[in-house]
Amino acid sequence: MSAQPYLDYAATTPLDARVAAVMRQFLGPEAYFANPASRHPAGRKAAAAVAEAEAQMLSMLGAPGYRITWTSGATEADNLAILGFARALAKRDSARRRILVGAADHSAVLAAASACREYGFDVVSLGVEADGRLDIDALKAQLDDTVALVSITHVNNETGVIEDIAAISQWVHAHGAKLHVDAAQSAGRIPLAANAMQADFISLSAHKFYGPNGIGALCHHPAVRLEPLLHGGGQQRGLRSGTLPVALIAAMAQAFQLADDAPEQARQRALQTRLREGLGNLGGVVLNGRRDGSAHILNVSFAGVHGAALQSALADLAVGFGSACSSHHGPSHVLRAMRRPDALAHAAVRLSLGRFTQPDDIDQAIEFISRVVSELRASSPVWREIDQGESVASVYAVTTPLEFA
Amino acid sequence: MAREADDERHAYLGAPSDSTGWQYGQAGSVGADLRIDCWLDVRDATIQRARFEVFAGEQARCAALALAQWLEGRDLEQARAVNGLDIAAMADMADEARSQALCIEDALQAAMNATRTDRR
Repeated sequence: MSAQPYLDYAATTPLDARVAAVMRQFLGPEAYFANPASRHPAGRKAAAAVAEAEAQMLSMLGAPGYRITWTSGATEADNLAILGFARALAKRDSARRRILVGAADHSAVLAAASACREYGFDVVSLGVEADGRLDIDALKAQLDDTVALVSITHVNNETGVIEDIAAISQWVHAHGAKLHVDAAQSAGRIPLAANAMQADFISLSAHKFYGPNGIGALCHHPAVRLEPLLHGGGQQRGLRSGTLPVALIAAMAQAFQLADDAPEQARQRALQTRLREGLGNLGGVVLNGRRDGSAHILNVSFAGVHGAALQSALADLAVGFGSACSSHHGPSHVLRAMRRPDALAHAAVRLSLGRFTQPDDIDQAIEFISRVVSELRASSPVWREIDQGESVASVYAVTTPLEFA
Repeated sequence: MAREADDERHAYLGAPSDSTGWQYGQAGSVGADLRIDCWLDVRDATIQRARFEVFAGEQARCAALALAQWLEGRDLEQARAVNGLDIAAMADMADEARSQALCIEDALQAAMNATRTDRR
């Protein structure tokens, strides 16, 4: 039996061979391996490589005049943006003491925002609609001159929902607040232009777009002050101490240069449609997200199927689930924010595809999942009721609109 | 061997294709993310056949299957004596899954207390 396809690109992506080739130039005794902080010729060469990588990133981001602070990943970038900005404001005793985040944001954003409470900030969680999109009315209602920062996720990591950052930034800046964009799932996949988005901070992670693990970046406007989270040798203008990993930085820039172009985006969209329609043939497949979301993420719940049984049966498939493996973590906070009942959230599967996904992978996943779901439904009292005419909404006591795949 | 396991499950899990004359009971709820339905074909105070529908994890499915196999040919008095601990032991359930065994017990008791169903 052939191995199951990899459909967990939202978790991490394989290193692109072209990126690996760039990395090799910086590895080994004959390569540019020196510490870029060193003043000797080898160090200066390494520093030049870092500068070139920064220039490449800023050019791709359409962010002239911005800076790149290299981090270990998007989690650290989120923390530097949110907590670093809050700490800088607290030092200046600013009157702006509120931070707005989306209830469906990544846990790195939510946790970083929560940590700001220690510095006297209030954190407001903005609700989302049933389809996962930010409640814009809630955002507008909360915006005033006490808001310091608004953090928005460009593409949601669980549902693929895309937020209209350009529109949101206008409202945010109209009230004098700053905007942080978590672009971990959008970078390398959909157009990302700092100037168009008018973002003050953008968080990125290389391993989400075929770069190596362990490297990310915060793109930020130099006029906005940040306090560092790490203290040490004072690298990166004191904002993030630590020896710069030249190979990883060069690889990240190269990976970003290889961002999915329009034909690749269309190809992935077609694969996603094939997957959604194939699974949709089962009936009772709830779409957790929007059809116009990112092409690489499809999140669906299988009505009538118990989440734990589903996860057990799909254990060999490389996908994400609607709850952590450990039961005490509970259903996804994203799906809960979308007001999915726990039983439906528990039975959610996130399938995410990418550059190396082929139609055969999709067909194999459809066949396997369909077989598993049909088997589980055959002995499910919940599915029997749905099959006999009860609506999914009625059986699950859902009061918000449900869309089906 | 996989096919035999599948056949075994089909024989004991899922609602009967024709439920006329079966006794039916349920326990749990979708809201609790745990529901067990029990179907019993009882004649002369003896369980001829037993089936379970399971909306729960794999351990509960295994326990329900084991119980359904055990119930065949048992009289009602024997079946009434079965409790959640017995059910958990039948399938060697982990401690954290024992609430599911209690739900299976409740579903069985509800089915035993029910009247025979008309054709559905």
